[in-house]
Amino acid sequence: MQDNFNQLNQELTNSGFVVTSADKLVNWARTGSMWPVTFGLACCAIEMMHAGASRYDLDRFGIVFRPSPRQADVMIIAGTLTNKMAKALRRVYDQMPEPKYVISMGSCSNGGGYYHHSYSVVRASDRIVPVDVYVPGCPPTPESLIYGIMQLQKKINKQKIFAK
Amino acid sequence: MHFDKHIKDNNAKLVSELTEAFANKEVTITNNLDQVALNIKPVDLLDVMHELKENKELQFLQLVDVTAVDYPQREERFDVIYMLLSHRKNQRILLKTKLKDGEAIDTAVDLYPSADWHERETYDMFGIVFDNHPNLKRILTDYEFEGHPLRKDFPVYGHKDMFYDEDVQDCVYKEVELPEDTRFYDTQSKWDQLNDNFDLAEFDKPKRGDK
Repeated sequence: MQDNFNQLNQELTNSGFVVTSADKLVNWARTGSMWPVTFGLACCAIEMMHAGASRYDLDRFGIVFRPSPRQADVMIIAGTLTNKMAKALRRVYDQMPEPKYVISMGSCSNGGGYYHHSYSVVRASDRIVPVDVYVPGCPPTPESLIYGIMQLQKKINKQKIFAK
Repeated sequence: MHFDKHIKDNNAKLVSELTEAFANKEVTITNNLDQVALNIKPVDLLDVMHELKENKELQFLQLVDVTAVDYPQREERFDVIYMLLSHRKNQRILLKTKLKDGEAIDTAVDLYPSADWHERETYDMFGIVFDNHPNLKRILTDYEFEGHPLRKDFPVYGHKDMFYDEDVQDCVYKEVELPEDTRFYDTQSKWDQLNDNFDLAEFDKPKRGDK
């Protein structure tokens, strides 16, 4: 990391500019500021809060929880998605600007989990919104959520926007 | 425990007061497991409640909960249960009425405003209709929900599943389809649960190594 910075610094002082590909630049920007819309539904949300608080500190990834879907890039579905909530969830998802990603956090959101046979629970949140990363666990630890977020960063890094 | 004595004395006192207050009404008073219950007819509900609330010896000013119990084998299928609390006299009482399926009962909202949401919940879960309720609609389940989940004949999966439909651009309901069967576990048995051919008698026979 330090070497990279030194190299970058040298390049900048020598020539005054650096060259990179547009894809890399865009993906660097996207992965460096993934702002999730806060969608805590159950106990998973508590672990999500832990991940955001000082101990695990999602801020160091440039991840800042937003209260509005219009400023968000990622939706973390943290908890049991019920039929009654499904429409609201879809509406929040529709309100997010492109490009948007979804992390499904925990068993309930991944596949109904403990409430799979219930009459009021959506048996997997990917019936409602397209999911990019599934984080297993009941609830997943903050570490696993952060790992899931890093997987999503990897996924975004592989996207090609300009070069087809 | 000295609390037990206190509760027993208190309940005995309550029972005697109730017998006095409802001498000319058709009620049954029970005192089981330190809980005083008043079994009444649905038509008497509001009169009895009014008496419980206004009687200076009782003063049940708070309605704690309204709920129901489903007994599908019974002709009067539901028990509607009102839990009342008297802060002044430090006493609690259960009001129990029996109701047939489709039969309605008067709302208690006029006497106890807290009955509003409790009755909505009871309607939602059991389908019991409360006459003259100001806003009798579902409170917990989904807006287009079918059936009443706490009835014994309600399938645990429900009737409908929710999906997002790309064509409609909205969430739609579909019939429930479960890819796997439910396993029914016998929670009382300590033996193998997943093997259908399991035979306890076979299992108990002495094996070659046993002495």
